[in-house]
Amino acid sequence: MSAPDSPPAMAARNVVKKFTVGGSGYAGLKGRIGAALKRATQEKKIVVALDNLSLTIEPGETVALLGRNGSGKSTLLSLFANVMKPDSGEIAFPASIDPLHPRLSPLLEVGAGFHPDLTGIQNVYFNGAILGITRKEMEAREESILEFADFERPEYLNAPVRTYSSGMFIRLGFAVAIHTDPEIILVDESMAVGDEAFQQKCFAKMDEFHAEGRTIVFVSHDMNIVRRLATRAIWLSDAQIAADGEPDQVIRDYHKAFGIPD
Amino acid sequence: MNLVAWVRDLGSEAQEAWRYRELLGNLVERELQVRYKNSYFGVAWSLANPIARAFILWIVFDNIVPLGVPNYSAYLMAAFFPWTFFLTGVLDACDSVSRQMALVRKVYFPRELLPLATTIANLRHFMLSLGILAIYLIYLYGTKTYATGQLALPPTQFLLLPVLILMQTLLIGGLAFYLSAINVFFEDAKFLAAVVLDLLFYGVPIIYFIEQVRVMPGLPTALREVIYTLFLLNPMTVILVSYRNCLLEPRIMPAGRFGQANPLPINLGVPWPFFLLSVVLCIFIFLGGYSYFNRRKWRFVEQL
Repeated sequence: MSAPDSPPAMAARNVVKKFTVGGSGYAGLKGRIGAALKRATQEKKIVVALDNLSLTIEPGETVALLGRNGSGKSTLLSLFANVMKPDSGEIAFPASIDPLHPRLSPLLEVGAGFHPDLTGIQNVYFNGAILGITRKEMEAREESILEFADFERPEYLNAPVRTYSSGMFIRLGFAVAIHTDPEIILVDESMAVGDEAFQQKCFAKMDEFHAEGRTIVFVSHDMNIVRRLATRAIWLSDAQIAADGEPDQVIRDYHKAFGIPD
Repeated sequence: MNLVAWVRDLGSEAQEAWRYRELLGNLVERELQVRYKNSYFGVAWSLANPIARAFILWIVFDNIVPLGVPNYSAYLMAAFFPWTFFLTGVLDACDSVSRQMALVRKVYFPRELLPLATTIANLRHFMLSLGILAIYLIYLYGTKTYATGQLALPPTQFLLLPVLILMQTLLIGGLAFYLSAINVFFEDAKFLAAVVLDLLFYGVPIIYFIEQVRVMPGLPTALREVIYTLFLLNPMTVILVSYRNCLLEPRIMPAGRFGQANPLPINLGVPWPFFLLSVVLCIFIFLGGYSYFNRRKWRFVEQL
């Protein structure tokens, strides 16, 4: 951890995020007319995903987010990834070189940006572009990316990705995302996939990122992965932080709450 | 809302989008790659369509049912190709955001790049079809030069062509902003747009001339003038009329065709007052669409 007076890598201040569920039923014309008729009787249900949550993450920390489904983990990650804005409160990246445009690499369901009809190589370049890597930089990194993805049959790189196995898909997506020189890496449950050799490679890469002082936030339900990688664990429950601290301690509390033996 | 604040907001959003201009180029590339995915001839298909259309219009309207206007098919094409740009541009843009939600949910980038990318990809296709039209026009003006011994050139309004392309692109981009944002919350928008555009095809002068609207038989003169003015208040009418006047000369349509009693001069020139009004309208539709899109773009991912 860095000195207390240096700015944090990531900060959430009094963040509130709510979602409206059901209600207007935007699906189509019929649904909309139906909803308009029902509006008088039907109440919209508001779900609070994050309730006045504040936290800071120091540069170089590797933070695991724990919690049951619907506890707000993914919402928090989406807010940090800047795909959502909080209803109130603030998300900030004070330690970034450009605090308004931090270099984030979101490994959220890797390969989400892949187009099924384009080839592996085409998708690699497109995915790089969307993560802010210029074509020139991408050309320099192409070899390293393909080496990391490690296809047994390289001819697949020129085939549409819809012909890929899920393992190949994820390996390629992961390979691009880690080659973007990120300040902050956000990982959403994607490390649990792929074969064991690839998982080991991902762990090694995470260790390397950690050694280089980059900040990592990941979501995982696999406590072995949390123990292996995290320097800090945060347990989210009912839209708030239930525990925050040493991974071993937080995992113990988490297990105790649900009556799971360690 | 305060106008100064509105302009400032729009400016800062545009500045953020400008940072991502390289990604915009990539999105356009991807649109073009995906359209002809797995096809052997690839992008050559975007030439095949206008060539086939030009050929069939020439066969039908200059050979099978000649209407007494020389090179009538050229007059049809000069409005048909820009119409196709408008039609495909607006329809492709409708689901430009909703069909890429997987990406939008996961990664930040200025969302307005998506409707802009489909608009620019369609602009590229339109430029190709203009190229086909240009070949036809070179042939027409070339044979005329040969026959008369005097150099035949398109009208001087020809210089207006870049302005026309720009204003049409702004119009399509503006509608793309509105429709792509609405379609995320309300997926009937695309189907509704398809129906409206299908009808609008007959409401703008493509298969007829704007001058014919003014002499519609069986109506009092005052009413005809009102209808004529209403036509010209539609920026697409003005754009199509202007394309024709940019590229082709005035003609006389012989009496009896389409039911008018006297010979009718057609393609008489750019309707200037309405042209200037349309320029203003196109700019406002673009800026208004952008502002509308920006007010909704952060709610796209919250659709459950």
